[in-house]
Amino acid sequence: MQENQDDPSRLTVAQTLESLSLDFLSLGQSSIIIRAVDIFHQTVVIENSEINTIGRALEFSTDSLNSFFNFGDHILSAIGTIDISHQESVKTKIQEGIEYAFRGSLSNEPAGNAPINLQGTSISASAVKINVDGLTDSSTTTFTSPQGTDVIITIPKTVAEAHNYLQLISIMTNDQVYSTKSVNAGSSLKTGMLKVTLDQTEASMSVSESKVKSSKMNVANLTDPIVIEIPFEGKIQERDTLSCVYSKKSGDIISSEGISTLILDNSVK
Amino acid sequence: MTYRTPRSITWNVLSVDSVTTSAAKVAMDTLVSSSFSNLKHIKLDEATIASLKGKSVDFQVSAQNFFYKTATKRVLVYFLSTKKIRMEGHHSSYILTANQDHKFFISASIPICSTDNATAILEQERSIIISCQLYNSNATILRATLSNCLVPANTMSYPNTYKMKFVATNPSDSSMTTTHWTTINIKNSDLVVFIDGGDRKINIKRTNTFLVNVEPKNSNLVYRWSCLEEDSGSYCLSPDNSYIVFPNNETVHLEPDSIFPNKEYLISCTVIDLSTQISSKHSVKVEAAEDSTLEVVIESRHNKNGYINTAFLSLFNCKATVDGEDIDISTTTYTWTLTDSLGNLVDLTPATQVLNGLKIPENTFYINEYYTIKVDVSYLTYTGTSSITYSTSFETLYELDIEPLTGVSLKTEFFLSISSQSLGYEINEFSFGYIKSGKKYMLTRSSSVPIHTLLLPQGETSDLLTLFCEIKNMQGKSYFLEKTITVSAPTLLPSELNTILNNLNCDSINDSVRLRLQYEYLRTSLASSYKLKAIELMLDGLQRDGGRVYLIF
Repeated sequence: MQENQDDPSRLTVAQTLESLSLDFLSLGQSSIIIRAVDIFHQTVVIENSEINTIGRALEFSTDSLNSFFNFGDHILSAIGTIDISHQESVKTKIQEGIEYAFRGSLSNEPAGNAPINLQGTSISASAVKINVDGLTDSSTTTFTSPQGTDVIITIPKTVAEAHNYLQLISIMTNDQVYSTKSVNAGSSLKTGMLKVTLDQTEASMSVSESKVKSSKMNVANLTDPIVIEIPFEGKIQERDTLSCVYSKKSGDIISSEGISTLILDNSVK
Repeated sequence: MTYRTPRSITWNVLSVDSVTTSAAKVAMDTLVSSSFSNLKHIKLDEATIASLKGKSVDFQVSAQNFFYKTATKRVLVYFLSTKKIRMEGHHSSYILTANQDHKFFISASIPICSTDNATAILEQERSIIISCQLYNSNATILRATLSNCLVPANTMSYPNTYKMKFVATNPSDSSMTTTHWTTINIKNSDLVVFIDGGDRKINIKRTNTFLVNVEPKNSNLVYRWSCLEEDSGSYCLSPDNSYIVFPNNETVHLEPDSIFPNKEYLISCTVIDLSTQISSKHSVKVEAAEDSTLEVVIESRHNKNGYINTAFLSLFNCKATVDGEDIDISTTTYTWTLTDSLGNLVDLTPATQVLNGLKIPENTFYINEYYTIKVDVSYLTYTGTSSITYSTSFETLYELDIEPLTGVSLKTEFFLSISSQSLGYEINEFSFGYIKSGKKYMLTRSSSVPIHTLLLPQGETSDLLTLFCEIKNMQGKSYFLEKTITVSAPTLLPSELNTILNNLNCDSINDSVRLRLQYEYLRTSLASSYKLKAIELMLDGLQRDGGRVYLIF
């Protein structure tokens, strides 16, 4: 087997978009950024449609992944220059595209290797393939958030016992990717937004296929919890309460159902 | 019949519209002499195609084989002025089930020309948009636009008839559009039946289990299992000479000593849906053995062609099974060995063992060698082994030509071509790029025409620039070639690029990359308005790519 090899066209597009996006912040031209994001989304997500239909991800080489990631980071750093009405859709496309590229770059990664971690100024991401058989108790993945502090995710073995291999993709953005509603007026999120995806997958090598199959894992009613430690900035005042909440999609009411929060020195768990 | 790569190919234009001295002929001759030598396929750009619409061109191609024998063929090509898009991959009617996803693979192309033997030559336009709409019998739209022409399961219902409308449009010419209607009749759902645990050796001393998977499942299903001995065709007998009777269940077990060694058995399951009376059957063959054996297989993508590209990292995976059941390789003892063609052991220290595999870094293998990779596995009381032999290339299969070998960055047009030096190694697709700071940058998107004119960036040190070519040949093998040339510092001024930008069109990824190199060099000195213009053009190139034409005779 060889290292991931993508279609040269895809790598060429990735390198061109990465190069152009270096100037997006200074040029501040909304329409150009939106157009470039649409090309990115077409190349990484729409042409990768088998992920959604049969769970097979296109391969992405390290070079392609790095270029698309840097492009996404540059876009999120220039997000303020985009028309307000397009910001949410641009952020969603970048988050989705980076997740797809990471899934594709894991396709040939042997389970048990160190995570692929990339850190930008507005976004950080980590992807790892875990061999469930090799776990004694749990698997912990640590990566650096865009703010420079550690995000720690621990998957207990009991979550995954029925599966052979898992892949964990975590994407942390400085900014909220999409808008949410809160039932408690006045409360606001104090950390960046973290998206965690857990898939069950196959061993790294597949002789007849160049793509590895994966599917989303159900994490309802777990015996042991998945522990996520997210850093935050600022000080907690005496009257403040801090809690971890989640929302599944844009416009959802944020929820803390099934979550218990533990406040550490500079992070919440 | 075997087709072999000729030693040389020459193209000529004898006449355009039967006129041998027209200006068009002169233009075509220039085109031919500059870039059409030694090419099996010739490529005309869109402007040339546009200028030839409605005209006929008399081409002559001469090829010389490796024994210096020459063959000549003339082809009269009529360039069509049609505005109709041709659609392929549809039928006038389909019979489909309702409970499964159905994807319609429709391709669209624009006829460009036809030849004197009346074969239409088509250009696949990546930019053609195909939309699909599904209508029910009341002619109301069921789903406005179906992405990728996919009708999700349970969108249609039984019994019913639907109509699907496919519309192909050329976004760059809205008058070019073609519509096709097709009828979809829905039949009752099929049962898909598949037995797990087949096609293997089974051990007569153990309980051997078979499971049937059925889609879709419901509570009205009944399972009829049978076991036939292949030789005699009679039903399987237990040691007490009675027929083996299976229960009506998804899972069945062949109990120890109920079958006999060294015989093949056919296990079948017929699944019947009592509510619809639909039934479906699947059979698997197994071979009975007295003892269990440990079977070991080395898996790798190299298996496909027995060839290793020394420039890439190689990974080999080991899979072990006992009686068809996978063994976790980490619970076994295993040893990898690598020997060269003389039988000498190769030091595997630089290689690393990953999980159940062996990872061999780039450039470990010597070129022009044979290697045998072997793995020995022991598990409980069993031992098993597997080996596989690979070759690295035995000759220079491809040659990368670059002209000139020295030039000025962003100014000199370098002519890059790749040619096959061996019979039977025809190029399928390839791409060029350069290497800077150890990183590969692409200059072209993948293409089947092994020739390109490129502007190059400045070299890394002492103006030396390393160019590479990645090739995939018709046998699916990959090759990687490198060559270093001298490219001196550029002399491009912002004003020069500004002038270029005012008259430039970008129609392909390659055009975008060419402009990107100039843009990257002048990034800090270009005015914002020109930067915006350049970025728009580069995005144009990424979006319009694919509209080129290949003529294949």
